[in-house]
Amino acid sequence: MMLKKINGALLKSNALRSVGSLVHDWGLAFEVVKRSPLTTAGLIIVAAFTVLGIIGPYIAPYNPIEIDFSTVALKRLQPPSLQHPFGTDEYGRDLFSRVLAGARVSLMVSLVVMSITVPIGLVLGLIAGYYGGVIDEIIMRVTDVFLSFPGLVLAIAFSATLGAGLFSAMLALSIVWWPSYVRVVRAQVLVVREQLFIEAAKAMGVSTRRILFKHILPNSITPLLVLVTLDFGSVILASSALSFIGLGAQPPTPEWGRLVADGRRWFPEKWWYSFFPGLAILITVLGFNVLGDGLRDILDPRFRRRLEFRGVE
Amino acid sequence: MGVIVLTFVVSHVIPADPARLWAGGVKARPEVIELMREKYHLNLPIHEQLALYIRDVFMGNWRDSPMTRRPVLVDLAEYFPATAELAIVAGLIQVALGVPLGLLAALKRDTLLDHLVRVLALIGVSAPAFWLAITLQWVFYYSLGLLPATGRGIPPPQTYTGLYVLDSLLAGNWNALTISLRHMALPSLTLAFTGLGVIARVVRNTTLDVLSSEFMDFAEARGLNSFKFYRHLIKNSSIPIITIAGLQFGMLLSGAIVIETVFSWPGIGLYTVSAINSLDYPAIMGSTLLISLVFIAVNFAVDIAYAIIDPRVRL
Repeated sequence: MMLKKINGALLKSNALRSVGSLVHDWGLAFEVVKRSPLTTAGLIIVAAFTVLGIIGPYIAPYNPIEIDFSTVALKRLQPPSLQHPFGTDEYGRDLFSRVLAGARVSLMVSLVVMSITVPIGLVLGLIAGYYGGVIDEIIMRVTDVFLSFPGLVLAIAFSATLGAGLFSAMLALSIVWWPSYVRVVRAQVLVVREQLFIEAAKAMGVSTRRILFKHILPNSITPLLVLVTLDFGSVILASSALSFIGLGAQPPTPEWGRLVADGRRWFPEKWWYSFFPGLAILITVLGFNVLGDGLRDILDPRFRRRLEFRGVE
Repeated sequence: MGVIVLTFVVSHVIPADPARLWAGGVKARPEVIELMREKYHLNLPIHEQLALYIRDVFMGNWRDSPMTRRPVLVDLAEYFPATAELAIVAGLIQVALGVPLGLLAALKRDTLLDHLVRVLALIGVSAPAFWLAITLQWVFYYSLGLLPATGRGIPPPQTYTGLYVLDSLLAGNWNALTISLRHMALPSLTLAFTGLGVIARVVRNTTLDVLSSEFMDFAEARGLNSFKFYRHLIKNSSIPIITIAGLQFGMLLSGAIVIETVFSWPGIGLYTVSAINSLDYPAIMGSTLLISLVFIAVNFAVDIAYAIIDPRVRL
């Protein structure tokens, strides 16, 4: 029992270390980041989004959810000003605070969806790729079925039948999102599986679980890492689309897509209501996409070699 | 087949009691609710419901929509042309603008244009389509008054295909054509923009790959004239381009669902969203099924296109 625990902890730390060791030369990676202002910008945006997602509600100048009925008539739908940089909504709430609080909702949704789908994708992809045969066939046919729907359409259908709400939106997105990870991991496992060191490990009698998680997993995770970074943005985009058409987050939750939808009633006279939350989505998703692109460059050996070859001045 | 099963599963994870709602809400009489259950087979065990649904779908009976009280297939036939027209026009814009842009970016690599294409691609995939739609309405309708913001305009006098632009062309009615095109402009541009940059990027990268391959060096060394040179180039880079265009079509369909509400565009998207609001499961199932069938058909067409372009590919 104790041994199992230690083993588990070891496995975890190994997985962590393997992500670190993907970047063999941190100096070089840093150089790559430094040379690409876009990647740096992406990193800054993502970091800012994460920090705001965590502390946003605490630093918000006004209460993002509660309505102050004594000042509603006075403060409702005010244009952007120094006091309210993004203006106010029809209940007199400060939109800047609501957008700030919205960062947390988006962060939570994408984190939840990822922490459901990535492990599923990893495990199924490892199994399908490593064992092959009937298991592979079954897993891949199921993912095929999922992938023959345009993702957002299926998410909308699931979310609609599960009932509107943030929880069902997260569930719907998770149901739709995992198959692409299975594919990516499986494709990579198929390559790694054939390599000599796996054969050596097998010959030495290393257990299958150890081979899977300690030898194959760390060597197949790179493309997944890039995809997950990009998909963080896509999940935010998809969940805001769900909220926009009335599924997903319900009032008074300050979700960005929902805010855009709410503001549409007052459009275009009160343009700021829809404009700023949408801009927040755009900038955040842009950050993840740019960072993902940059990561791909850093982790892509071809690109690294070119840089090494050229020499880092 | 799998698609049908999944569509069915989708609509049967229902926690609510749809029969009650369809029968008229909380105050519905029990016998009416029972009648609704009977009609939609809700009182049968789940696997029998599934078998019935599959049989019915193949027989062309996609059930009646409790919302419109008409067969779902009839509803879909009415709403689908609008979505098809929107997606096709957006797709055409994507290819017509994206391919030349990508080619130019590859030929003028690392110039301002190349960077611009990159930024365009990034903004395209990052911008929420619905927000883009609203912003474009703001600029072109409310501020400039150049283009209509909502609807498809008036239908052309004769209906051939249900696609307004095509119908007015067929009828030779220039007035109708202008109206349809003007209504088309904002929704299709919004939709096209989301994937335009992606296509341009893929075209750029493939072109660069092909350009750096040995047979292109050889083609250059042979002293081929530029027309033949570009023919080599285009033919060899077309497969990834077709792949991405096919995938983008799925994105266009999803995007259409979301932005149709913004533009009051009477397509599947508008139909689905109102179906969602009235828990109209047959309609939700029907439109999900239809959209995925279209998506599958497009991907199949892409596979066929591979075989035509590259004789090495066997279907």
